[in-house]
Amino acid sequence: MINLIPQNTSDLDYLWELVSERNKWFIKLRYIAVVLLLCLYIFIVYLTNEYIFIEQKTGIAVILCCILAYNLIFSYLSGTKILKNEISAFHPIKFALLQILLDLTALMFIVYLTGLINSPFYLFFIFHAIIGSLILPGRIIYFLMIVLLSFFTVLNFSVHFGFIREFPISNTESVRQLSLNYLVLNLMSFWLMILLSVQLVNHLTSALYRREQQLMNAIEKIEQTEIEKQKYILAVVHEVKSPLSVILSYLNLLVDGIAGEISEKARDILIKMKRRSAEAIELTNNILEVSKIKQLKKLNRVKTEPELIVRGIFEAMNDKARSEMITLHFTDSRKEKKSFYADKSLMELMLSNVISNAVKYNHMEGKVEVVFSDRNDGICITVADTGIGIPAEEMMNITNEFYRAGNAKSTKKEGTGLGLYVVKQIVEKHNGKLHIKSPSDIGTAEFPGTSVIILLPYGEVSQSS
Amino acid sequence: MKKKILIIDDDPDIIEASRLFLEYNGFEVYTETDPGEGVRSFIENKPDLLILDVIMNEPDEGFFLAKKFKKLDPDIPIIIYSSVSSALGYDFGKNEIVSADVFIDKPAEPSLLLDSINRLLKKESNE
Repeated sequence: MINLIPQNTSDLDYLWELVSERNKWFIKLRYIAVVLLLCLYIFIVYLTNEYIFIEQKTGIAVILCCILAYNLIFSYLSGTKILKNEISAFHPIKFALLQILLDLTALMFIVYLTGLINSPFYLFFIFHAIIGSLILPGRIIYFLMIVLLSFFTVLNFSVHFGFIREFPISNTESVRQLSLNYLVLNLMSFWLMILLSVQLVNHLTSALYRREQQLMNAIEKIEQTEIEKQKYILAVVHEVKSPLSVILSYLNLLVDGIAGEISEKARDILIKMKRRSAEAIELTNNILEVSKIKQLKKLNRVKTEPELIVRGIFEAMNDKARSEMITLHFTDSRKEKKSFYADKSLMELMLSNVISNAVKYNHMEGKVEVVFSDRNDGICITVADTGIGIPAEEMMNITNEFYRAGNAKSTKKEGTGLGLYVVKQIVEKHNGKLHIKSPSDIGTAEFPGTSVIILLPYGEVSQSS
Repeated sequence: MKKKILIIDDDPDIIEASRLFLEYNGFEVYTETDPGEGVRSFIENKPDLLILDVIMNEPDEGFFLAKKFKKLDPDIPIIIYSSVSSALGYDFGKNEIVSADVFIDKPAEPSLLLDSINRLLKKESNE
């Protein structure tokens, strides 16, 4: 079996995709060619005064019908599963080769019926040489073109010496009347033109392809380095977290008086230490989350019911909300609940970050509203609160790494400036959109509040690889 | 009679802090830093509840231990108390292979740990 895959191919999937694209392009182009040929046919047959043989008229009409018929079959084939991206199957390059072979045969007939070297159509062979060179490996296209040129040469000589019948489209131009020297010269220049085109295009294509491969390899290397870096961060942060956990556990013992009575002043100091340690722990958790998301190459999309996630988060936050008399409200106003596929653990993390912010920066007796609604081809999640809001001038930085708005910092509430950054990363991983609005729809003059609006496409279940 | 809790964690300081806190709350606490010793202590002391770390000698040793203990006694409540939170990609709660009852992120608020212990022990005594 002849190998149709170019030798320097390292990424087969990419090659299949590329050739499949070009195949679709050929099919479209062929429809245009049929229309143009039909116009030319009508022009020659009905509008010029040249004498046209009946064999020419019917022959060309039949060939046009054939081209149209096989192009319809190709259109159908390109959408079916007969085409497989496997070397042993009927793959896109075999499909391209079949198209080129049929096109060359049809063109050869048309050229024969319109006067061979005198035909206005024979230059289309060059076009096919170029297209073939773009897709097929050098040896194959050279072989194809040499066969074609030989056949074309033999046909011209056969007509010239009267072995076979000639079909000129103009009475003044006949291959038989050409001088042998002129015919040879013409054919030689045609050979040269075709072979040079093949050489040039094939060389350029493979050079371009190699460059593309180099670029892809470089990108892959960069991604790999990033993953290594994130792994390192993960390990370091994890090591830092362990002693912090111990410190916090001991501080808890001291603050709660389990290790013995302490003075009120010492207790105050310990509470401050505890708060700052908790902040450091939260920071390590957030960094671990960011690292995890950055390392993620592919989402594990499964059927997700976001309403259950929200209810779970409400339950977990109930104590904190109740202690500050904040009401948590959830409305699901989606009309048709289409299946939603997302990475479940990331969805939990995203929603818990947004909702906990809404609770954390709220005031006593404040409100948090989570609303689900339909948005073209996806779900819209809005989390609105009656909290401190985000100053307009800080809005553009709010999703940046380690950024905290001035008014959030002055609340003296623990925060790392990574919460919304994590949310943004998760939304982007899901091809969604994140909008942040302040004041929110439920805000007041005193408490403007924030609305976090997340648009997520329904997605598809991930294929396990 | 005091309820018995066995803690297996490779960090002696975490063990110490947890022990002090649990003893203060009226439990009898056994501790081990070595998983092998943990199994021995389990058989010897017959605790009412287990608290296990995950990353010990092996990155997922705690899970293996949990499985082993559940085989020894399917009714024993197990708390996985670890800093390998969901952030590290272990989707604990939903993982059916891990035979633990509760997963708690380390470090946890003492009240949260105490609530979980009381809830699990109450459930066990009801059954």
